[in-house]
Amino acid sequence: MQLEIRNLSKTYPGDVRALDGVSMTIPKGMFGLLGPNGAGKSTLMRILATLQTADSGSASLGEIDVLRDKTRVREILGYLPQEFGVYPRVSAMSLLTHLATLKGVGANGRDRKLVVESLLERVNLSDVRHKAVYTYSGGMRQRFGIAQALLGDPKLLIVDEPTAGLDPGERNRFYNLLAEVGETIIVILSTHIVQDVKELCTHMAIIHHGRLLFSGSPAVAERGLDGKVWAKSMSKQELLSRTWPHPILSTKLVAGSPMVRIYSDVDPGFGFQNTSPDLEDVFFSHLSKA
Amino acid sequence: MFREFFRYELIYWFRGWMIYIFVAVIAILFGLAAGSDFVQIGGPVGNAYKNSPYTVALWYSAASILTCFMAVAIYDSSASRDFSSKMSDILFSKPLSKWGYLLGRFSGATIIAVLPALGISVGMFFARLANWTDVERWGPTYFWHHWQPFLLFAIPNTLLFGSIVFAIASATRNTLYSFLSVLLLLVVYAITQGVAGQLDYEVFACLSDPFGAAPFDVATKYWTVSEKNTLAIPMTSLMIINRIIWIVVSLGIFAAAGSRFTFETKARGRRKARKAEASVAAADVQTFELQPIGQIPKRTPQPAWWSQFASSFSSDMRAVVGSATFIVILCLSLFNTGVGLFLGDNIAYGASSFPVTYNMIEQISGSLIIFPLAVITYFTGVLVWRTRDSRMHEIIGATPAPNSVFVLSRFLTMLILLYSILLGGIALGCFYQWLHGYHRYQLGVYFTEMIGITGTRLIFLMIASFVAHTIAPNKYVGYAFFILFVILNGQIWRWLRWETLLVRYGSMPTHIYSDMFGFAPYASSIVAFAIYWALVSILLLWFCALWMPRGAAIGWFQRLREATTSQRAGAWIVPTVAAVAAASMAVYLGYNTMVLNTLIGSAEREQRQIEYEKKYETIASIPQPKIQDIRYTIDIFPETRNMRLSAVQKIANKSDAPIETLYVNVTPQYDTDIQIPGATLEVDDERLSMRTYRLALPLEPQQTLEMQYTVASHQRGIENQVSNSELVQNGTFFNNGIAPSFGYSQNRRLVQPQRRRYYGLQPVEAIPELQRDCTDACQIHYIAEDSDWVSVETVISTSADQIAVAPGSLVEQWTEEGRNYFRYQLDHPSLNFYSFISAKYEVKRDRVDGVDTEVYYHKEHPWNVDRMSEAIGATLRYCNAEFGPYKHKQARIIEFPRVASFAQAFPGTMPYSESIGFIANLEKPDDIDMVSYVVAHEMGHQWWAHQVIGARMQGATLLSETLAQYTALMIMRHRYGDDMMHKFFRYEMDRYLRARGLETRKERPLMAVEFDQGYIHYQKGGLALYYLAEMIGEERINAALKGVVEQYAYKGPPYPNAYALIDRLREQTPTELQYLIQDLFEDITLFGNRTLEATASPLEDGKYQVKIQVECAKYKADDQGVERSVPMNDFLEIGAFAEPESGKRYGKLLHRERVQLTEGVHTLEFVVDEKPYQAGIEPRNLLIDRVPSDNLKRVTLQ
Repeated sequence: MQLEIRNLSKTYPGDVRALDGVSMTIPKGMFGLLGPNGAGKSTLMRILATLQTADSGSASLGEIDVLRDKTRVREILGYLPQEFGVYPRVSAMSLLTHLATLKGVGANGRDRKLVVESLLERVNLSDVRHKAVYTYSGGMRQRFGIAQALLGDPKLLIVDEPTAGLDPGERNRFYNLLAEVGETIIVILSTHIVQDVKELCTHMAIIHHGRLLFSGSPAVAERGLDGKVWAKSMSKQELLSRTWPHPILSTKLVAGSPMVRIYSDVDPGFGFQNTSPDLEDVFFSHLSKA
Repeated sequence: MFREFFRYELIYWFRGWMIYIFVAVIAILFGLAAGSDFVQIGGPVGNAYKNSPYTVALWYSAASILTCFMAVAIYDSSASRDFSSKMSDILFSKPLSKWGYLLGRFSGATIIAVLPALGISVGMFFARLANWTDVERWGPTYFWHHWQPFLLFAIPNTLLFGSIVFAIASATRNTLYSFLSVLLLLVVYAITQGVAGQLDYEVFACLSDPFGAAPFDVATKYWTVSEKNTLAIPMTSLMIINRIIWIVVSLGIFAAAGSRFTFETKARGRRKARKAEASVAAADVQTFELQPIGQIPKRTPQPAWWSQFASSFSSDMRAVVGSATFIVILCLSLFNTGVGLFLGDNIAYGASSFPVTYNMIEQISGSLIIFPLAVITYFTGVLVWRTRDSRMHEIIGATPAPNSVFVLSRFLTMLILLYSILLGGIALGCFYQWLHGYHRYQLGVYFTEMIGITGTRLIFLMIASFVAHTIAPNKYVGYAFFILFVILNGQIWRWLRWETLLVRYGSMPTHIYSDMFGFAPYASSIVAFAIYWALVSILLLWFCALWMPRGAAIGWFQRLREATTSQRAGAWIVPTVAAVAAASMAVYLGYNTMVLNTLIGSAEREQRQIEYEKKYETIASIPQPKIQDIRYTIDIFPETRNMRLSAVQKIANKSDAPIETLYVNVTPQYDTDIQIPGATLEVDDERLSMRTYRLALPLEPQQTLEMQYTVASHQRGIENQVSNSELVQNGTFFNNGIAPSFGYSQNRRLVQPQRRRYYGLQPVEAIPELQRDCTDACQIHYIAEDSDWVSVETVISTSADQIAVAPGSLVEQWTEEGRNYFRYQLDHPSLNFYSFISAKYEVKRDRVDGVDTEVYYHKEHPWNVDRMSEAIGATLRYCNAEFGPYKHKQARIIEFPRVASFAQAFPGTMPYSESIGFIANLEKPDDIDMVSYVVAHEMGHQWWAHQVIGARMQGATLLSETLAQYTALMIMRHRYGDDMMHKFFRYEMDRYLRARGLETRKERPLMAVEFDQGYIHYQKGGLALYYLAEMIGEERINAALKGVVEQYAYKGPPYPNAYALIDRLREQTPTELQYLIQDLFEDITLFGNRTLEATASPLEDGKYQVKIQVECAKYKADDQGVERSVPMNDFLEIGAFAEPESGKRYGKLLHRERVQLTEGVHTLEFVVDEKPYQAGIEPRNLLIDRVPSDNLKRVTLQ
């Protein structure tokens, strides 16, 4: 089963084109959706999560029409929004049970209790399951979010910027979990952190200004830039002293001095060294072309 | 610092839209109230200008209630904006001055918050422009008359709200508590107002009213029209003290709140929450383990709707009940209702009624209803926007639970909130009954009224609120939509003159419960309309489910697309069935209310009155026959609420010209069939209910003719508003007014001056002017225009379990075909004015002076029957002895259902509403015996109206109502003693003085009183005659009255007028008191008597020497209340009271003495036997006094 997206478009009032004819195929496994802030990632995610309607286009998951047959999508969907709150004064146990009930998990209360407890166990919130989620720290709340997204054995898991607010350790553990889940189902992960996609995803897409810039596997994307990325460490004065003939992919500070990476089919001179491309170069090269 | 924050605050508000909306809302509301008759605010103002200073002041004081919520919004925003927008961390880390910050914000917010009140003046200004030409209703505008109430009410009241809200908001940083604190303040206000309604606690009520309305009301309650039109708000000491008190309180609260205020950010929530946070944080550092994926449990293939619903419901319930807001509102509502119950059990003259259930329900509903309304308004919004407000909407939206789960769970949650308030009210009512030893709880009535009817209305309203929030883009717009809807739905249909309840959302026919017939006459109409609106509500709920904002989709078009794309096939079944059923119900109700029955609105009714006047005024001078003898055959069918009356009556030509044409008025809601031998129906004007018959042979003078007619009711199906409430299952009560009558009827004209002006008609004099010589003008009396004295015989039948009563002696009684038959015969020709009654009765019988006295009463209302019976007897004996013999062989009091709340005298028969007297509770020793009083009044009418009837001109009711009132007062005096009468006069004086300020035409002197001027012929008339009796003696008055009876009883035409009485009274009055006749009857006379000082010093023999300083003044008023001072040299009374015993309201009268006084200040002395408590001038308040309450002063002992 794979998710087919065809010509999806969405315009917000004020003529803001959030999605502009996006088409892609998302197979089973981890799929990374990459794009700068405001690129349209969340819009796409929300449409796929049945929370928004597209203006035109189609999306289908197997035989399910994602845009029309919302209830069926919701039955197999796990969704972790980029930002969410919780009801005040409600414990994790009780809130998760409520959500489990709404999702239709478990035939009876006892089943549900088992499900909920095991999920809380899994995200390591068992000890605080009777405390109000409202009082949780950012990381704990995110874990609660993961738990609710995993409710009911989803076939499609959509996680929107999930690692915001997690410390590095938590982030790793979360990705491990996702990777494991992603072995059998479709997991769509949206992020603006290139590293995340590189580590996790077998497939990826880059969108910018609502348009799809690239779709494919990260390795293939990197390979496409072989021999075309050049780097040089220079002083700030040098960086600003001239206009560079080639598109600058990135300027990073390495030990205090700018490390400039440019895209060029041939040796650009000026002492630039050819360097092996990484996914970030792919990302920036597509953005600069757009 | 101050300037910066102040300036910033003003800029903030002026750049927003809210303040403009607020001003506009108030301006529109008050503009409509001033410029149209559709909106009324703050009670009637009578004949005063629409923009009279009094009206402006009244509105400014009333507007505080409306503007307070606006003020709350403004102040709350000012106080908590920095916290809610999380600016506080940035802002408060700057070097700010605390008081500069607070004062700047507070003053800025105050400037803004007082602005909405100015909408009153703005609205009035526009209303004035729109009515520029109407100089009769609009006076000149003076700046000060707007500015003064603004300074006196708007600013201090806003300050009070502001300081409370500022204190609460800066302490809790939670909007909710601000609103609750204001709600609490309003409860306090309602209580003080309730207290002010009771005369005894006036000063307390004045000072404790946080809005200053009570001192204003007290100072102006007796204002006449001319005073309302010209005077500014009187700056009485109560007013000044009240305003100072509450301004000081406001500033105190603000200062206290300010000194507690710190810039430090408060930890969120309570200690418990902080503790929880700490322990949660400890768990945070642990890691989480990975577990095999296989352990993620599966979802079941078929999600159970019920478990989703149950889970949602418990989540919603926990949210609203757990937030404590609801508990607070519930407690407030019960508290307010409880206070209302204990203060409000006042039916007349300070006496209470038994806590019968329907009275409990009325009291409870009055003070409770605002709370379920508040709950609906507030919590529907909370529930609809809850997931969004807590930002759970995306997670919840992505679950497969259908929208119906959420919509119905919110619905059930609201239902429980509403019912818990209503049930709380019921419990309170029962508790009150139990506390008063009254154990007839009638739970069925409680539940039908409160849960069944009120509850259902509230549910409809709640669903409207759900719809408002569903279509709104956010919570605040949702609130606005709902309030707008409620106002529009309440006003617009009347405006459009669409009278049918089918369009007015959630409306059901009005009803009256009676212990006699229960809900029976109204039940089917109410149920039918309830079903109709329930079906509409189901559709609306379905719409809510369809349209519900879910996930991220908020725009209407998105939701529309959502709604049309994501529905399951079966989802259309419920709405389709409901729509079809609602439509069928609408057709059915439309057919019932508009085809089977006629639907005539008030506008249409007025239109017909105007047409009637235009078309038939010309026939007024054409002689018409008079009705002489009538034989009725009446069948009453209580089960079906039907009645059939047929009559054979003799009519005579008493004029001196032949009668060729008969003009017959019929009653529109009955089917009338008329048979006049030799007459042909020439015109049947169905629209105006007037038939014209032409006699083949003219009816010559003195000739008589026998005619027949039948009047039958036709209850057919369901009515828009239940009419013919005189025909009911138990307690049928109709009078012969439904029979056809002859000639142009003055009573069918439109007479209210305002309505006539509205239609561009010249004002009419309601009745002819009083004239001394009136042989021609006195040919008709004021009760019926087409008859003089008639003989009546009636055969009346009713169902087997009921007793039917008609005028006269019961001659024969039998049963036939399971029905009770009665034959009654009038013992003496009487006025053609009597009633027919049928109900299940108990009868209490007695015999006095050869007359059978009977009280017909509902089995469950036995409390005052003996008292009534005694009062009939006492009045009979008194009147027989003093005025002349009673000509009937029986005198009956008959209880009738509370569809009307009066007692009325017909010949020998006095129907008496169940809502007065029968349920009066006179157990307290101090209570005024209003039961006997009303009975004595009605019995008095047996002489004054039914023997002596005034001609149809001004002053006619002086001969009936005033003399009946006098009779009742004398009965009371003989029973309870002279000294007890003053407690009664206090109420009479109060009523007279208040009512004259509300006069819509002209106040007449007693001699020329018009029929509908009850405050003159009852209150003033009673006082005047009682006072005259005090001055010249009861026996002299009675001698005069006896003379009137001897000359006029059962005589006429011509009929007597006011001079018949006044001339005789003048004869009986000694020369030195002759001025009284003019003062009491011919002029409108008022006194301005008051006591300036009262001191007493003990004498050696244990007595006390009392010294009082009094000021006297006497005024004559014109018909608009303009007064002029006149010189006086009148006999006035001075006296003193002892201290009231504990538990009693009145002390013993220790001394009274008549002295002759001129205007000005006098010092007087007298000796009393006991320690005096109060002393002064006119201690018993028998003279009409502009300010009765300052006649007595507390005695200072020296």
